[in-house]
Amino acid sequence: MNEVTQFSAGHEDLIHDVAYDFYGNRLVTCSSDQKLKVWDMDRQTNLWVLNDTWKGHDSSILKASWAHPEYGQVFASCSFDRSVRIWEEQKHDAYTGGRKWVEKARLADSKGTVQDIEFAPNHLGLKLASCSADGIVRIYEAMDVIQLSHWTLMDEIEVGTGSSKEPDAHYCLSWCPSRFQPQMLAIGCGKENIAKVYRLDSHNRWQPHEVLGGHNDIVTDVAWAPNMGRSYQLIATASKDGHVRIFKLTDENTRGGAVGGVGGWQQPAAAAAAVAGLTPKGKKKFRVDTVADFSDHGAEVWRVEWNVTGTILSSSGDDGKVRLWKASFLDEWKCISIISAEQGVGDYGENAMR
Amino acid sequence: MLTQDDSLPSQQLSEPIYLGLCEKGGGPQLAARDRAIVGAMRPLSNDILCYAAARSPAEEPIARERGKFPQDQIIKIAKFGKDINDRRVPFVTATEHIFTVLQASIRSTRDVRRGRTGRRSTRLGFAAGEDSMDMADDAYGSGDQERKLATCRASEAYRREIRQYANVSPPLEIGELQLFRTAHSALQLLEAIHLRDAFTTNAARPQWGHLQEGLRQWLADNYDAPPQDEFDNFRKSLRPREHEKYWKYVYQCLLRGHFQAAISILHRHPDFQTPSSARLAGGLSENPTLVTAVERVLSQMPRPHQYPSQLDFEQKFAEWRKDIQRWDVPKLRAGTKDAEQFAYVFGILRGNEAVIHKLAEDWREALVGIILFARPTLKGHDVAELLGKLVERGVDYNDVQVQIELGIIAHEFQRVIRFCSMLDWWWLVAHMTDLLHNSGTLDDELLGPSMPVVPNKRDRCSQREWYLLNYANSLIPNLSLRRTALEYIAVCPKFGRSVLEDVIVRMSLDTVGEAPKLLEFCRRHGLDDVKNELHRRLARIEYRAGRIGEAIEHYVEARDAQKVSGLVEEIIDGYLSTANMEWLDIAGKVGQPALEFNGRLAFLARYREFHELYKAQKFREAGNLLVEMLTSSFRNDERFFPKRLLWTALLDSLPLLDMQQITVFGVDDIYELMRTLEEILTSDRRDDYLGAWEAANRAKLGIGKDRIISAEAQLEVVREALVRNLSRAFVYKGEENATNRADE
Repeated sequence: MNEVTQFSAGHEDLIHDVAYDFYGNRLVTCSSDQKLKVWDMDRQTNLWVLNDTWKGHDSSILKASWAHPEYGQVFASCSFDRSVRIWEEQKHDAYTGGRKWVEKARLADSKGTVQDIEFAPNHLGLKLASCSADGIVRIYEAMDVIQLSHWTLMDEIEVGTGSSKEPDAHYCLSWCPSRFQPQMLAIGCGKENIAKVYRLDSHNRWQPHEVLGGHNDIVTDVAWAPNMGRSYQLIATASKDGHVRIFKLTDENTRGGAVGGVGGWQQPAAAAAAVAGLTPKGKKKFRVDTVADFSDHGAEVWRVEWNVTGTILSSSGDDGKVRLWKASFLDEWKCISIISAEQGVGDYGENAMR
Repeated sequence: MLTQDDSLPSQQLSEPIYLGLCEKGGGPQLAARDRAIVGAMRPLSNDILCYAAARSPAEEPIARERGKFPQDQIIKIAKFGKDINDRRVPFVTATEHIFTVLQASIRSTRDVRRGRTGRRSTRLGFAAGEDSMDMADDAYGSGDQERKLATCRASEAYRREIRQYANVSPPLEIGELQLFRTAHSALQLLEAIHLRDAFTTNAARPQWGHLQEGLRQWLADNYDAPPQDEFDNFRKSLRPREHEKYWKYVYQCLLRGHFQAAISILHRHPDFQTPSSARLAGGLSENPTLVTAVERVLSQMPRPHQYPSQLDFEQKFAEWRKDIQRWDVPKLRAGTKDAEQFAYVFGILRGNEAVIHKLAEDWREALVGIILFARPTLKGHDVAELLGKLVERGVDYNDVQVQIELGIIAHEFQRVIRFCSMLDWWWLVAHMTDLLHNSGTLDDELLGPSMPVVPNKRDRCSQREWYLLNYANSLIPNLSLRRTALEYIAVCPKFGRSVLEDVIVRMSLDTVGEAPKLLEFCRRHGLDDVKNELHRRLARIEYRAGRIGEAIEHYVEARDAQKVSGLVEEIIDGYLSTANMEWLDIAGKVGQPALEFNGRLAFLARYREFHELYKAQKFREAGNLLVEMLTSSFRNDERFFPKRLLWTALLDSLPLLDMQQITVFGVDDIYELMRTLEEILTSDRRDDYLGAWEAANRAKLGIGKDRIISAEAQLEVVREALVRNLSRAFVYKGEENATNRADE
């Protein structure tokens, strides 16, 4: 079980983010050295092999997010240099100057550091949301999904108000992955110490709806769980107050549980209603319950992330541990694994920081 | 009742995984050094990638002294769950097949009950195995019994696979072996107590429910006692009677139902008389010993399966027990040195429960002894009443296997599931829950009321589904078991579809042959959205590899009209801009569905046909086809004929017009060609038509004036050719008419 392998990213400064692609067969690492590195999994050796490295931005690169593979090998990166850049792998015979990855677009609307980016779920098309230290969430859409060079700024959502617009404010976002819901984003609202769910209303305007409260400090990360047919939504938050929280959003108008579906499967009533075009766009509010609140990290929590089936949540904190959480049959969330940055007993790894 | 939520295997809450990125106790100090440990889970895997990330960005590269540590660039990949051992893969795939057949059997049983099939099904999905009961093949009875029957046979089949796996070479590790032994014992006990009564209502061969054979076999198969090597040593000894375990072995053999073994041990007793020595002593009936008496009693013991009804058996059994009294007499006891031990033997035979409890090695042996000698007609649902006495002598409640078995005996199925889930092996709990569910033994309604806070039931799936999904999730990280996992997910009624939709699209299509199998799976389960997404992904892969035809076919399968049109236009533009004839291959490859899906594709196929006819020197047919296509362009059929190809098509007619030996075009055909020429000349897009070659490339080059001048020159050539051919066509038509009149 405790099998641990490693490889060296070889950046010249600290790493900010490492992102798996849709299948987990590729990685992109980004760093304060302004470089991006793409890594491929070698199936034969099971090792990560460097695909390409290049200077991606003019300042620290903070995050990377892969687009759905239907649009090709495409990812976006965001930086302290206030830009978001879209990168695409070239066909093998079209490498330009030995470069495998080319910049397809540069989105430079932000007036502050771009702190978080995420491509929308595939059913919404090729869309990208970014949030910046200027307190604005921007939503872009690729006009030509083949060329990828024209991105239109579709919406700007002002999420920072008052003190949350200070320069060191921290914002984060996560798309609702459900196909059976209107477009929604969970957004960590800086110094307001809350996260909010924004929804595209019937006039195609993004409006704040539910508040995910209870935080005593900045929400540092937010992650919307894959729905997996549940009749409710789960959103996890990480906070500087040292807590990991899981919020359950229940649509109280969709009573009745499951209805008949294709091939003997059941579909949630909400899903069936949405399929039938009955879901009122942006009207109702979810009932919000905090179903888990863990203070196990005992220090600032920086990252929360769901696995692809929405059954395991990982949280990373300043206690030097990554914790994995899973719901039991009766929806009781439990820690199932702890991964510690420290040495184990009798382990004197040469890489350990002393 | 479920009183405790232990549905997550306790083993998963194991010791922390140490990455060695900082010294022991140094985790919290990472923050002071502006670092934070961050994890990222790899999709469809048990891998979690961890690294020391910067907590805050630096505006300039290496703008401030962060200090450099070797671990800063180390990315660790840890496993947070167990990957399926490659040796287990054949077991997993074999049991998935059994599982799938069971689900089909249950569905057909349900269909019979609902009267959908019209005729009662008498055969269930499982072929009789070597150790399955042959009477099952023609089982008649209620739907519940048919379900139990199918479930029992599935359980037997699972056990067969377990035995096969446990006997692999090289031998399994002890822990692995113990895990599988636990599973084997639990399944067999479940069959013996709760499922085998389904066999007893066989109309063709009436039976009545008894536990003797099932329990005796369960004990023999799973708890070998005495161990064979120890027993062999004992048998080889010169004076076995002097062996300290002599009587212990006799009692064990009796209590376990190994009567032949018991008799063979007793034959080594000094009191035993061989038939010849007995004759010398005046015959058995005259002067029997206790050994021969026990042998006689055992040989006459009635066995339940020999009697068609419980009443017959009870009658015979009562007579037999009465007969025992005849032998257990002081006269015989006086003739042996082991009177006390023989008294115990007769105590067992008479079904004295106190004696059985006293002599049994453990509760399992006592249970079988009581069922054999004291309560031979006890039913599965009554066994629980024995438990109190059985556990009185003490059992190891820390032993998960014991807890599972006691749960089965006590009908406490939530306890069974709970302890099965404590084994770090989703297979057992998933299949056990499925068997309990399918046999109608597990009642989901029993869940919940005892829990202080029970989440809304509509949000939850059944226990069976929950464990099946978890088992499937445990298989997914192993590439060779992914499709096996999908089969398990597919039977989950509440969440199965959604989970499949999210899991399948994450499966890489790089592996050769994987894509068609996944597509077939989607078709089989009606996952149209997923199928379309897979086709779109495959199209993208083909497109990147330059295989436009294949990409189009995938987009057609995905019903993505926009993408198909985009690619077809790309092909046409490519032809116009480079005169490259590669499109001929593409147009030749695409199948009928694609041609029906997109008019332009159909046009390309027809245009290809024109080129083929011309190449084959079938000039008249080629000319007719060309005119037919051009005519279609005047029917406002924009979806078929791309107007920017008008000029090119007209130029294609030029070699046919220039032919001296034959007249390709008739008068009407020439009129159509002239009409096309007129369309080009009078159009306000005249330059576009004539400069179509460049027009296709206009994003890069713009329409070249030189090209238009050149086209104007060609225009004159075409015009002259048309006029010349029109006169030829009239002459030809006149000659033809004259010939026809002469014939008349």
